Amino acid sequence: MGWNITDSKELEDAIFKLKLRLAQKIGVRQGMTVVDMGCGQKLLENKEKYWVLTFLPNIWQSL
Amino acid sequence: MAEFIENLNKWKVKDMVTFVQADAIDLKGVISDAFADMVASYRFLEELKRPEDMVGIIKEMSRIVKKSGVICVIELSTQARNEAEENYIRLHKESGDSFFESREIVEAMGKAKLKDIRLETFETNIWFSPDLAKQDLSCAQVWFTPDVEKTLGSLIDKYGMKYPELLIFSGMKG
Repeated sequence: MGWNITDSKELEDAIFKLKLRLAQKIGVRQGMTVVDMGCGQKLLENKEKYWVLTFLPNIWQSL
Repeated sequence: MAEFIENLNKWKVKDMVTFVQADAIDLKGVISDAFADMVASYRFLEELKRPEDMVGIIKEMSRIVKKSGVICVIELSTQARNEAEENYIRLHKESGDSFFESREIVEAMGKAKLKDIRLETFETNIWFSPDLAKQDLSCAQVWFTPDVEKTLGSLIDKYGMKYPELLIFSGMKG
């Protein structure tokens, strides 16, 4: 079996890169206003309601 | 929230990012009509505690995007192509996540009057070794509990886990 990820740091990096590739794929570009709806994973554990994250993703340009 | 804000400082993006806590099915008074160029979600629908809210949430996404703006809903594919993907999908299904049929999400986008609705797949190529798959990995939404050990432990030992392909649902506001 060809497992390509064997430690948690590698996994974190792989997920980060996956999300970056996704942002590029869906068309996120510098200067756009993007609303990213999420559940706030940590907060969900405390039975909070849904969360919304808003960001202006100039970040993608600099990664 | 403090941890989220700390991350903004870490990545030096605090001037570009705003976090808002609100109920996603009703953002009126929080986010105005036609506010964003794009509204996206990543593995959000699977976390809904009230799956019946899904249609209303997609309508709300449509309300806050500008005309000709795009909505992208990204969810896990639950069509396993091998045992390692099956392990990952079962781990989430058996923990009570809300997995919708693709047609349900497409229909919800139609009800939100989105145009040019598309569904694409996106390969992840992330295979976890068995030792890694048995750790708590919040970045990959994996929590290895005694219940998971009981139901999936031997299968994970044999096959590990693989992050399944992702489904990207998109539509444009007309």
